[in-house]
Amino acid sequence: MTNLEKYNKAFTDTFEITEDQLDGLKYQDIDAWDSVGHMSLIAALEDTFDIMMDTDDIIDLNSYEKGKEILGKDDYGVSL
Amino acid sequence: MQANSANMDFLVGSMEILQGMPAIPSLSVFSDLAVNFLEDLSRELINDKNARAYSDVISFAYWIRRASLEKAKTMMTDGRCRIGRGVALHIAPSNVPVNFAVTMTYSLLSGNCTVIRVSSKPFEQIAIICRALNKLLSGAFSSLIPYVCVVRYEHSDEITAELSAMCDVRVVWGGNRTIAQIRKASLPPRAIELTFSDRHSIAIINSDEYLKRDPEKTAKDFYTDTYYTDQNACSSPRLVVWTGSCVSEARERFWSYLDRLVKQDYNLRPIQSVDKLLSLCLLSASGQSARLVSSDNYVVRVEVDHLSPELMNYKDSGGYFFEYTAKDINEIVPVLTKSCQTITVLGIPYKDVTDVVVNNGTKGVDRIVPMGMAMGIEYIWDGFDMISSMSRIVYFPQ
Repeated sequence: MTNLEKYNKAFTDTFEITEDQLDGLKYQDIDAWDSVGHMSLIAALEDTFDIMMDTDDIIDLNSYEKGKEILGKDDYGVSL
Repeated sequence: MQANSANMDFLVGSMEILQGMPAIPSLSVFSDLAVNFLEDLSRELINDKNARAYSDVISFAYWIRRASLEKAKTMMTDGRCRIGRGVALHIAPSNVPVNFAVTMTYSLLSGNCTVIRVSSKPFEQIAIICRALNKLLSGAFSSLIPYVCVVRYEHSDEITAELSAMCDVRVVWGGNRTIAQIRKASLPPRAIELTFSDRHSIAIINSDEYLKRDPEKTAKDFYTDTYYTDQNACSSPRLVVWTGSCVSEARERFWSYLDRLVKQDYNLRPIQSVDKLLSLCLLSASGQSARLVSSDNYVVRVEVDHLSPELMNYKDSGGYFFEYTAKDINEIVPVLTKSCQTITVLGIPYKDVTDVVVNNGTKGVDRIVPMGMAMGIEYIWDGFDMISSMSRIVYFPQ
């Protein structure tokens, strides 16, 4: 699986949605992505890419696109 | 003495495992076995569809995820040799379902064999977590089987005495009546005890800073700290202290945003309204000057013009707040009694609060956190470093 596929899977598994819903998806756009769902997403992303995210990044990750940008930073080095 | 009572239900473990605990070797603090087990428990719960409806279970799972445990381990690594004390008996509270799993986490990370007595209330959260524990213990973590028992029994001095007689650490999560009841059972000479009694908490808001923030987010944060647990948690603020130069404007905005949120999200029960009225009458009858400044039962606010140590005897829950405007932060000292646990702050530097505590030598205040974090789970609770307290240090000169 490519990194992008893994990244998408973290979202689709956590929120029980399909890939076509991912583009433009933002925090609280769907019921599943509330503050509780956010914790599950972060845990899934950390697990998938074997990383430990900073608190600031955890708070900043408020959309599907923003998440790609954050994970691509040198701190995590996940190219998507 | 051995535990042999037949009237115990085992949600995790068995009587045989429990009886064998005193002979089981202690683990070192943050042992790989315990850490890996908790990481897998986190994964198990996050992937459990039944758990998703319970934000407290997910918050717990999030707290024990690998990244969070790694961070905690780094904090505890100071070159000292630390190991579990032996058998730890935990009496979990009946008001916070997930607390049993939190105290189990402290205990396993400290290296102890862990026996937890959970509330007899049939919380679904307890069932979900025990199911995950059993799944892991019967799978990859069979080596941890001798270290975990979760039991349920009706109040019984006899069983408590049996369990107490075999433990090295006893951890009693309040309230005060439970602590008094459990303390009737004596402990072996070397055993230690941690007790978590009834506490109260307060919030301090700098009005100028508040007005710079997003009022909606602040209302949500304050709601999480208070209404989310019916304002019943030890860490839920009962008193709001205002400082700064724009108090009246800030107060108006703060309470109106909260009011909107509460009316939309909170299920106020009639009994709570009656209780709040009763508390207000008792406060007034006590001779303290108090003014009711709210107009309905959802957010009841009682303004006081001075703070006394007795004020908190009249506290209530379900949305009942004392309010006080302070010119100087030191004016809060009278309410920082032994019972005062958490100070939730908005726009107030932590150092300002620790200065009040240290300069006045107050007996209360164990914790200062930003608004919205009152319910947070931490490794330091009620002034105890939980891992240090539940483990022992094997000293050698460094």
